[in-house]
Amino acid sequence: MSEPRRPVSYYLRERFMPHLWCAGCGHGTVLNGLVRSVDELGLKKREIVMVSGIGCSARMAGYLDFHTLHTLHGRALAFATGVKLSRPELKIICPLGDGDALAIGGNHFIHAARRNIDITVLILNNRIYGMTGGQYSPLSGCGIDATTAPYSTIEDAFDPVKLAVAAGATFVARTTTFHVHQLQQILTQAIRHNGFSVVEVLSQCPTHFGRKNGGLEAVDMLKAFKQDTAPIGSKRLETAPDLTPVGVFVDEDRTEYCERYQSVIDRAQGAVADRAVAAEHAGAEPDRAVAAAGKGAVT
Amino acid sequence: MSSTTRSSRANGAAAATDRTSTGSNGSRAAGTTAATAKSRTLFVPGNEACAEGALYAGLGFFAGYPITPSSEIAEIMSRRLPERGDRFIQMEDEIASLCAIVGASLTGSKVMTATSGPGFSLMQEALGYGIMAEIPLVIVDVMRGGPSTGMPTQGSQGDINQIRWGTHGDHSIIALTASTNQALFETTVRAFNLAETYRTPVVVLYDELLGHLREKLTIPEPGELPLVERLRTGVPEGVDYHPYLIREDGRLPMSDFGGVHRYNVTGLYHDMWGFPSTDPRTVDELAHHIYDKIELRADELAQAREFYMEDAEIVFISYGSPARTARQVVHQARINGQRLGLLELETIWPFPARMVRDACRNARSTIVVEMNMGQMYYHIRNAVENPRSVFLSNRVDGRFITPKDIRRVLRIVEGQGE
Amino acid sequence: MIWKLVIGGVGGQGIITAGIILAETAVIQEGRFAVQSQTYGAEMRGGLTRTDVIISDDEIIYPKVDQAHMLACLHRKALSAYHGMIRPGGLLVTDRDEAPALKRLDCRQYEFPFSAAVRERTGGVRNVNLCILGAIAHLTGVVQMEHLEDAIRERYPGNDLALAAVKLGQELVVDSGFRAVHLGEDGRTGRHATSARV
Repeated sequence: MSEPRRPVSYYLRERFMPHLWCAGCGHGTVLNGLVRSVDELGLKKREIVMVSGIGCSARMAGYLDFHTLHTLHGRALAFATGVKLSRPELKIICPLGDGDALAIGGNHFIHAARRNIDITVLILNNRIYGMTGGQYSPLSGCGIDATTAPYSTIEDAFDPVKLAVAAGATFVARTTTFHVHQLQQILTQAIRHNGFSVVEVLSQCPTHFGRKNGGLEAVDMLKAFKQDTAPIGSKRLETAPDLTPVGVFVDEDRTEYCERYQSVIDRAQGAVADRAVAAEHAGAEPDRAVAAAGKGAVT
Repeated sequence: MSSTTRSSRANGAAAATDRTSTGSNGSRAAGTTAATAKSRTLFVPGNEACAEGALYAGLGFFAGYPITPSSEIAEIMSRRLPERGDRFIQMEDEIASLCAIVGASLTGSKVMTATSGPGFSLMQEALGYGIMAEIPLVIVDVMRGGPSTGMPTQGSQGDINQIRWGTHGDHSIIALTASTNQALFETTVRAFNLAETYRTPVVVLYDELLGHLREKLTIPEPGELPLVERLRTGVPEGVDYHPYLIREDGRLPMSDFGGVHRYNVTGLYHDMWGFPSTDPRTVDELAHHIYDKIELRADELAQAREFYMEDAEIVFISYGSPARTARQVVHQARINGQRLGLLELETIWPFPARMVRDACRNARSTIVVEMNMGQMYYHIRNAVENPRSVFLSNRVDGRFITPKDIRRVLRIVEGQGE
Repeated sequence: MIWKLVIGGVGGQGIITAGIILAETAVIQEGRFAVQSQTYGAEMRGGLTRTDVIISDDEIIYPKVDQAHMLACLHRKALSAYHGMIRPGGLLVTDRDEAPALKRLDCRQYEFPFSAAVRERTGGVRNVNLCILGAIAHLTGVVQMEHLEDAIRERYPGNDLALAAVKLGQELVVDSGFRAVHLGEDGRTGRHATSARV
């Protein structure tokens, strides 16, 4: 992990500490990696807007000294879209939980990906709804015990990576809170990427997921992240395809949404200019011709 | 035609500068824009009048999802905003639309979305967010028949109560309406002014009939109608800015996202930093603030048009396009020597209780004319001194209320049979 | 003076556009007052369509047409649906082939071969809605013919077919020998016109 140019505390709102995350929670590790990435990229704090939803992950926004928008459950990407399209020069980072990203917020997720709007999404996947007390999530997978699955879950999980790729995200990666170096590297790449970037971070929830599922402690879960994952393209993954691949799955160039919108502005303003010229040739007042051309379609 | 506008200087323009010097006669009556050299006369449907009003007010960002009978507003914005270098986006649903405009408003843009009843129902959660986080927003609700999908192409006024009470928790809201395209244009401008002045969502609501009714619209020249711009903090960089520290005049200067001040915005109860708080005193103060900043100004925000009210023995109270039918009835009755009057409400919420009470004080009867099951009627009954003198003339079949409908109720109220 | 008109037909015939142009002529070209509204179903094509237009020298309060001074119909479905809207003694203008006149209506009926004439002149059925406008303007004087033509020129710059269709409507009335109808102060249509069929 590279040495920060500034202390991590420079990026924190220490006024609002202590944070509410449980001891052993992986979310603080993600926050740490994120701050180091921002520092590595040399971004100014005022250039970053963090937009979060509701849940444990969402509280990250409050602790960071950026412009921070703590919104509604699942809607962070819709708010973020408004911020970004209105001020395309700002960097938008959205830390989302299981539900924010892929349950209540699933529709916003796929549409933001489809638009390829320049937003960096961190899916803090702890396979459980922590803040509400340990209910199962769309990332829990089958055979998991949760407070709303006393007989264990019967639903399969989304694969957030495959979903993001299919929906059109142009940067898609997965890592874990065990792989702190890779976490920072990938976050740096994701934030630098001009387009919709998705980083799934497997993050441990010892309080709810661990306790309900064999009494796993944070350390057990981190060890599992190490043992059960393998880098994309690695020999290990080839020989053991059941392992969870980590690394960068997609990194492609596609024109970003706000840039495409700029072309809409150019076309619209070109059309106005053309109409004004045409009106002048026709001898009419330009204003009036524009008004006439603007008459609504018949409904 | 005997008509006057009753209002305080409620378009909010005054609030930015000098609240005390504005009296009850300082305001421009809605629908009074006169054609001048630089004004433009158009023949457009109500939805376009509303869109023109928004553009006049300085709209910079629109997000929406198509729904009859409001879709024309989105269509107009998709063409006009990029012409001005501003932005339009069609979101994946109404929920996302309202969320997106909250985000854009925080960057300093004047923002709007437009929908109809079903879409408004979906927006309720984010509307509450806008109220709690005190975000200037304008939401247009072109009402159609409900509940549920109801009657997409027929008019109704069934959303009166959902816009006031639909989102959970104690709150207040500002909602304005109009009955002509000219008034709708000016009402929309006023909505933006009030949204900025009070840092709150403002609803512009009207029914399908007005939305699709084409009539003359004179767009005033720039500067003719006062505009309220975003009140931004003067706190310099490096000095603590408290985004939710209420000034003595009740206002909260804002700082744009991307600007020098970084702060937190949340839908949780929060302190002056915008940071979540459950401290009882903090919560209590904020709960009262978001309620009182509107409800305690109900008289100031109240705006209505009066027709023949001076000596009216029977008072009609109506709003939106049904007020045109009531006005027709009153107008003709006066020709026949009947002393009828009309109070046409242009502010729906906060409910203009005092104005209604005063208007009905000397009336033998009051007849509320609306296209719902009496959503305003019950509030009017509660406001007047003699609730038993208040009657309802309504229609809920999607058809526009006719003079005949109203006259039938009038005859019954007057004991003349049907 | 206030004129209340209804034009009816089916979706796709340009009924609503016709209503808009007529009302717009009064407002933009003549500086008068007008309102235009419409009734239609969810169908884009084929459903019953109606547009209501009120044109007046004064502000229009009640925006719906109750008893129409004139009903124009371009389709028989519309005629059977809306003929009851004509006020006693009002005018009915119909397309000879698409909406043959109904018997025993208390109104003065005018049949013109709008669609046939347009087809003969242009080989297509587009602009029949504009043709009927030309006839209405000439027959009733609700708007001045030249103002209607100005409105068409502004709306369809360089479209000679559109302008020709309006003039064709006027010609059909002229050729029929009908005299123009005027609206009396009492709101009744004048009695000096001949009720006849082409």
